Amino acid sequence: MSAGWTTLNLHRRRVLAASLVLNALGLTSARAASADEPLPPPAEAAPVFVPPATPEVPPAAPVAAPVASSRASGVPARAPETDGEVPEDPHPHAAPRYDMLRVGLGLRMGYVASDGYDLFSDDDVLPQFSIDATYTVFHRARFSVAAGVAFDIGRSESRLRTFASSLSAGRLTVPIEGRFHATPWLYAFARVAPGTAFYGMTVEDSSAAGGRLTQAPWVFASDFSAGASFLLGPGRGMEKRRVRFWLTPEAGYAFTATKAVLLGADRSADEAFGADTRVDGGSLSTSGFFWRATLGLTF
Amino acid sequence: MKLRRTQKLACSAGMLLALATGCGDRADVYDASIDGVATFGLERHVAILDRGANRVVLLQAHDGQELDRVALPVGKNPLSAQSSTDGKRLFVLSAGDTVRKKGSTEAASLTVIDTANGAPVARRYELSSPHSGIALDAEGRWVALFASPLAGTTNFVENPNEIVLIDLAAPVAEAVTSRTLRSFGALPQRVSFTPTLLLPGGPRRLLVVETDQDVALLDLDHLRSTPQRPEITVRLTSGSSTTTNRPAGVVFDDGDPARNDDARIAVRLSNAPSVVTLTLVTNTPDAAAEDPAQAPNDFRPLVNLTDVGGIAEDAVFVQTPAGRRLAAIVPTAQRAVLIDADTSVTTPVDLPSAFARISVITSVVGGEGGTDTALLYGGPGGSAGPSGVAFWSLGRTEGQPYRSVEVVPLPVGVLRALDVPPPRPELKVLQTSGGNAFYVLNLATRTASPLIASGSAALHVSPDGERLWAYQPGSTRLASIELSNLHPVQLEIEQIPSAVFDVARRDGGRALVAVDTRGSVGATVLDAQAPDVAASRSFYGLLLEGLR
Repeated sequence: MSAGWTTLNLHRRRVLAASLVLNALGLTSARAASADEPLPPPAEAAPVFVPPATPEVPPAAPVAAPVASSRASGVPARAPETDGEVPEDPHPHAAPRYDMLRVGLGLRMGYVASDGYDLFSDDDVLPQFSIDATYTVFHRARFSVAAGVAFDIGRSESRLRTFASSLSAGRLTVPIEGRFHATPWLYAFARVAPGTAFYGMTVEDSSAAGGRLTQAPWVFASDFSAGASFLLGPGRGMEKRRVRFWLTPEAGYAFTATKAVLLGADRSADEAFGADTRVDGGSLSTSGFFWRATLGLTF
Repeated sequence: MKLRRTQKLACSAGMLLALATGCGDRADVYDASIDGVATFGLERHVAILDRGANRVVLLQAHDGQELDRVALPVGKNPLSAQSSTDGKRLFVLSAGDTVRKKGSTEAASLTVIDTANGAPVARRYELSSPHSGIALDAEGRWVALFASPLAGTTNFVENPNEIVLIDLAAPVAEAVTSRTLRSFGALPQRVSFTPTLLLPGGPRRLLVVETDQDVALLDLDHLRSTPQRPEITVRLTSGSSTTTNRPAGVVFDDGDPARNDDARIAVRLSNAPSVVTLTLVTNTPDAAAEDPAQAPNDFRPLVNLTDVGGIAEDAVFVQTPAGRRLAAIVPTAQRAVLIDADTSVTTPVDLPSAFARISVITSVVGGEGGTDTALLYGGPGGSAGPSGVAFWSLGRTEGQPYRSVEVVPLPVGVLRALDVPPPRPELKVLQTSGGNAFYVLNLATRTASPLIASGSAALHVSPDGERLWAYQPGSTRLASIELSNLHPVQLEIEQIPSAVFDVARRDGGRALVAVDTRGSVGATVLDAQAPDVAASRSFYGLLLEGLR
């Protein structure tokens, strides 16, 4: 009996301390506790509202009822049903769900300083359309980790010495994203996204057999970025699964392995009378800083 | 409220990033157009003048029909380029920035690309103003720049009588000398360099400037002497008439090697039936320069105007049994005229046809008793001449001097006679007016072997004298003809050559580089000594490479 109560009191003290901190931050203690500590099932949580028998525990203030963890089930615990002797929570907020499936569509602007990019662009900007899907694979308290798949595709067109040139640049990556949910409507994140990039390079040139020079290599790529997601709405019922909209600005550095630009005639080697030699256009890497603005949907 | 503030911050950050990433425009060369491409065959390289990018791309062949490509910058806005006769150097004349501003504006310049020692090296000579005409010294020491009458004026005001001389043997800082010729209202038309002539003051090389009404002589060996020596202007116009005699070309003769007073310059006239001969003799002891700040030259020209009965289309100094003579070819009179420059006595020689061009071939076929033998061909003004060529022996035949003219008849007129380098100097390739047929003329046997093409053919003689290349402009047809047996090898390549060059390979052997100037310029490379299209290599986008 004594040992059991001692354990219980320790637990109550932790909950109380966390509640005080979160109250000081203007957040409800229920949210904090929801994912913080493993708690007994709701039926066994009732004793915490019983006045403590030991003198070191201060008299119970009208503390919000701790909520059972949602870690295992992913469903936020509800406040326990109480009979008339337990005071009703004046702020009946439930913990928001952080275990979300997210799909994002966005615009990515990359800054490419590589010499080889000058063949295909008047400036150093590589615009891309981004789509990604992630799912929260782990969460604890206000931290969560999501992983998924992302695809960026863009095209730059220019004229290289009056000949039409274009570069299609894509990235297929596996984003792994660590999130800190500062509030239900805002989370910051850091992301690493290893994967691969591919280029489709073309120069329309009548000196070449077939009238064009092409190359389509694949290279290793990875993104390192950080950003924040702002909830656009709806902001109610965060504890429930609903479709929500997020705006996500993000900035980072894109690493792409350097590839020699060797443009060849647009034909197979068998078609050549002799042998074709590729045009040496220097080297290309789309490494560089980038930013991205994404409109996300979570479920 | 808090949400709005944060959103504003995020938007501002995004805009800043957008601005930051919007910079970084590429170099202007990526937008430069590819036009006015000119190609030149050097000894070991093919040079492509890329005017838009202000550079010369040099191609050097090596094993496997590979091409090394090197780009060398030249001055901005190239106006003209010319390769040296020995194929070792390329000269590119540039106007520089036409609008000069503070900062990094560029002056007019001459870039000399030297490939003599393997790796190409570029030297640039800055000029105070742009010029459009280049004249190269066959001996490789001098370059003259002048206002070419064939080119448009690039300057608001130009002094056409300003000749810029560049001494390639001098350090770059001291090499450029500018001289303005004394003018009687004339404009320079052509500039030539004499070989070394033994003059009264010693061996000299002269610059000869033909204007549209006179000829100027400048002593190159005293170009930078102090006090300065003036140029000598020889007026070709009679003072009693307003008609101007226009020079049409000059030839030189050093005369007797033992004498220093018989060097001569002969000037043909394009609008008068005369030839002017200048004999360079010792200047008079009391000679003085018109400008007291200058010193007189130690030679002077004796002018001799000789009527030849028609417009002389060509002239050459020849050795006859009677001594050195100037042979002037007058196609309108269907004759040649031998002129004794000492006495102005002329000897007309009737020709079987109205030939207009003459070429001395004594070094190949020899001549009777030390006299010369000449080849006659072609028509006036570069047109197709009579049907055939003629050998003119200037020795005495059966008591008749100069009368031995042997005609080799051909079915078509000859436009040009291309020299074949050693080891086959006895051959000449005759380009005809039809274009479908060309002939390999053997000077030794006096035979002309026809080669018939199915279309109009352009010709290129390999510098090693072993092959003749024929190609059809606008088509992919190409043929190699071994000059040893005149066996043609038909070749069909993928690219359409606008010019072909037989060049020495870096690893030995020779390569044929067929340049296709369509698009961004391509090339097909064949082993010139064993041409096989299946072993050829095609290159594309040559002017897209090395832009950074």
